[in-house]
Amino acid sequence: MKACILCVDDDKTILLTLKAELKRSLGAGIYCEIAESADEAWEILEELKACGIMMQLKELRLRQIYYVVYQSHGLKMV
Amino acid sequence: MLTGSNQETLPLNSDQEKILVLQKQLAKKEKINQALMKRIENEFSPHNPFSLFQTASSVELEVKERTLSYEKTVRELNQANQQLEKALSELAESQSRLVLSEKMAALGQLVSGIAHEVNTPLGVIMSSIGAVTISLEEITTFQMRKLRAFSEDAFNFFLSLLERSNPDVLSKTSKELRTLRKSLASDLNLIGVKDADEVADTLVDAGLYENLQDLYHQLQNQECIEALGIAVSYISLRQNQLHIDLAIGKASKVVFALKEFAHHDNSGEMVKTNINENIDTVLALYSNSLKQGILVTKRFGQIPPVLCYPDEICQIWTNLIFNAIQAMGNDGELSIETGPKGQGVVVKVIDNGHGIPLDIQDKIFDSFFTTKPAGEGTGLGLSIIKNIIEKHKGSISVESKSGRTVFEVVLPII
Repeated sequence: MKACILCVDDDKTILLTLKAELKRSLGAGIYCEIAESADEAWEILEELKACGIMMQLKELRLRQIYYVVYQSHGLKMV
Repeated sequence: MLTGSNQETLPLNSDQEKILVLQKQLAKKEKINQALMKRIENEFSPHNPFSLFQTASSVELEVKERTLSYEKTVRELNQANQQLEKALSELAESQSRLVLSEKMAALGQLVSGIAHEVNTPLGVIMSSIGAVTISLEEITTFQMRKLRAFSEDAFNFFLSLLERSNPDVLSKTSKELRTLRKSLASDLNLIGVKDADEVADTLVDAGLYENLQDLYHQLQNQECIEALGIAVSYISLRQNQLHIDLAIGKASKVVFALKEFAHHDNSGEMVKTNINENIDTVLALYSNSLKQGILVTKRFGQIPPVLCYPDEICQIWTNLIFNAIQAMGNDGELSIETGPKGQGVVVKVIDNGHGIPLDIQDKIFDSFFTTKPAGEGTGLGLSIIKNIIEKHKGSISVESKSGRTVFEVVLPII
């Protein structure tokens, strides 16, 4: 099973350069997904979960991840 | 003389006669007395010259007294006037200080956002330069030799990749790219390409997602996969160059806006200003606060330049936009409309925040009126706006209900 890194930022150039750098330094062993908003990040998390990738991620950690998104983007906590 | 005449007429023969004579004399004396009394009265009447003299001197005294008190009053008035003038100039001075401090406060609120706005593109530039360095290292003579050794097919494949790559990294959203990658991966999977997910990811990241169908089958060929690797190095050069370009544009925009905003015109002269650009300056500075949950719609019309003090006009939009952001609690729609109106320009700042209660709508332009908790708002924002607009012979009005507040500013061209 591959690991996945999900990058979230509202600046797409940041995301693209970050992804390129992660792919280069971590190699083919990982997935790197990018999301331009918290909503999109949620969508990706759900998709990954559906693919079985997020199976081991507990709800608490999911909330923590979302909290990071929340903190850096001033979005509402659902 | 009187005594003499009395002796002549005084008969001495009988008592009765004596009485009669005395009575007559008494009557005479009474007459004289009356005459004397009248004279005395006359002498002290105002028409009498002496009395006139007396009156004149008393009037003179009074005039002197009054002149003195008048002079005193004039002195006092002058003093009061001077004090008032001093107070007025102090007031004007403290007002301009307040305007400046309000401006500095607004600037302070912006600084952290601006630091982020400049830092982000700097980060992009740094990381892109790193990627360019790596790509340049990859494009070595070894790769060149490899390219030369490729079969005709593989080399043409390499050239097609370079030609078909869309370098515009921002033309698609990350979501669209994900969808493209997924469908590409499933297509490649169908024709049996090894590591289809990875190849699809590489292709999409290199801007290769359109008109690729005729190249699919070549991706089964190991030589072509190698050609793809080399192509990605070249494409990445182009992409990173674009990243750097965009980042520099963003950073300069922020710095330019900051310069415009902080610019204090010392000449004190009015300048012909494009109000649309003036508003853009403020929006650029607020972009960090705005993009975090506020949808900004600009409906800028064709408007003539306005003769004004640009930094003061900037302050109007700054305060209005800042109020709108606060009213919406960082979540809502802000729309800014401009257009011509008569011999002037009209600007509408519209938010869908909680609105201004009807009973305070006529107070919001008063100095020190604030609905924010003590220490948070100065209560000067709108009053400063009003002063600036009055200085420019313009007008401001507000129309507000829950979910829609419109501030309308009209500025004459002059």
